[in-house]
Amino acid sequence: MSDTSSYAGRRVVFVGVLLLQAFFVVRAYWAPHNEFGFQMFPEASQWQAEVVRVTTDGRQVPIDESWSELVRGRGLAHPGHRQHANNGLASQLAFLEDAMAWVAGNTPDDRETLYYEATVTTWRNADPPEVTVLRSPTRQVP
Amino acid sequence: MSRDPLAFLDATMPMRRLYWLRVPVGLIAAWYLIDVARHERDYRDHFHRPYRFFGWLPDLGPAAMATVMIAGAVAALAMVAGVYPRVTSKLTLAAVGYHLALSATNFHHNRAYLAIALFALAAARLDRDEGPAWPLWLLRVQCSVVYAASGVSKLVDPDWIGGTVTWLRVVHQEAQVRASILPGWAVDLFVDRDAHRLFAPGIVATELAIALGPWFRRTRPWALALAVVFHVLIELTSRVETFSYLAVSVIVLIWLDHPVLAGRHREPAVTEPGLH
Repeated sequence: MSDTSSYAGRRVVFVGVLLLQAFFVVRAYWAPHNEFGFQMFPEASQWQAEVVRVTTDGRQVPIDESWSELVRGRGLAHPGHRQHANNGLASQLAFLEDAMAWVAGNTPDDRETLYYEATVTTWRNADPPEVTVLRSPTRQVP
Repeated sequence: MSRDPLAFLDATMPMRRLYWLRVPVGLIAAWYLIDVARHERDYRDHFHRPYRFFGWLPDLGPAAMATVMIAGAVAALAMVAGVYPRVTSKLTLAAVGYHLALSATNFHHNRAYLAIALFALAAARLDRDEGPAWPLWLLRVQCSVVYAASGVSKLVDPDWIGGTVTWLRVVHQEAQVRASILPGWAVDLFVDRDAHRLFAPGIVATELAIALGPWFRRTRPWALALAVVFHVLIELTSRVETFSYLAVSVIVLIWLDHPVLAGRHREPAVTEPGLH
């Protein structure tokens, strides 16, 4: 690499990385997962969810151990337990919604579930509890 | 004096700081990659959330995934040993970056900071006694950004700066805190709501002091000492994977004024014109 290109290149990389970092820091104020945002220990919030499979005939079947075999980590394996929202409620709920969509889309042997539904109770810091209902996309059941 | 405000990037500096930093960073990276190889090689069979922009990344089967992660760990350990550090640092960064880019569920703050440190090492002339200063400056700025971003996010959150968050974190774990080795009076203090009206601003002030302190020669030693104490307390009270070890290694090795690290090079301060 010539002196000129390395002279320009290191400026481009240095300034580019810092601009990107600044973008991620600002983005963390609205994005649920705040990658590279470094908002550490953001909340003392807690959450708990009743997750059910809604079948084609309208039954609501609570998830069982097959859920925790498919969904590990991020506190999602046992959503029925009241637990700390490690990276904040927004991140936790976004991951729960994504997990339901992933399970709905990756269980081809399941021929009765139409969609997954979660009734989520959240305690945002010292605020009163709030209840939110999340739903996975509807599956094509043969 | 140069008119170019970024002229300090071109200065030649001893590479000792980054050369020594390769040891803790390499060990932490190896630990992380081996853990992935052991527990996450079958990630495709479990919930994960790929990034839209990284959809082109290859989805590896368990054997290939384990091979890539182990190869990355071997590269990290070779970097620790000083074997072809310019090559092994890049291979380590590639393995860590690949795993982080695979899924949003893989992302944690300590891993993001690890990737940043690895980027600086991969860009540095680790094979020479001296090299361009810009990777070190980049890591110094990034180090401050980590603490400043964390501190400012708490400062603007009324629940945080008012002590609600820290108080509730303790209250939610009161049984464990009372069962710990802490004396009763200390536990009573930690579960007291009013005490957290002082603790929380203290934590925010500490983070901001660690972000800014190293940039001024007079406050640098105090900021480094504060950072060490701060991370020891975090390590004792929270589960943050390898964050404490990484954070202390980075801030001490990139800033400490010691001949072993700085050689005869006199560290600049932001109060000096031109930074060099």
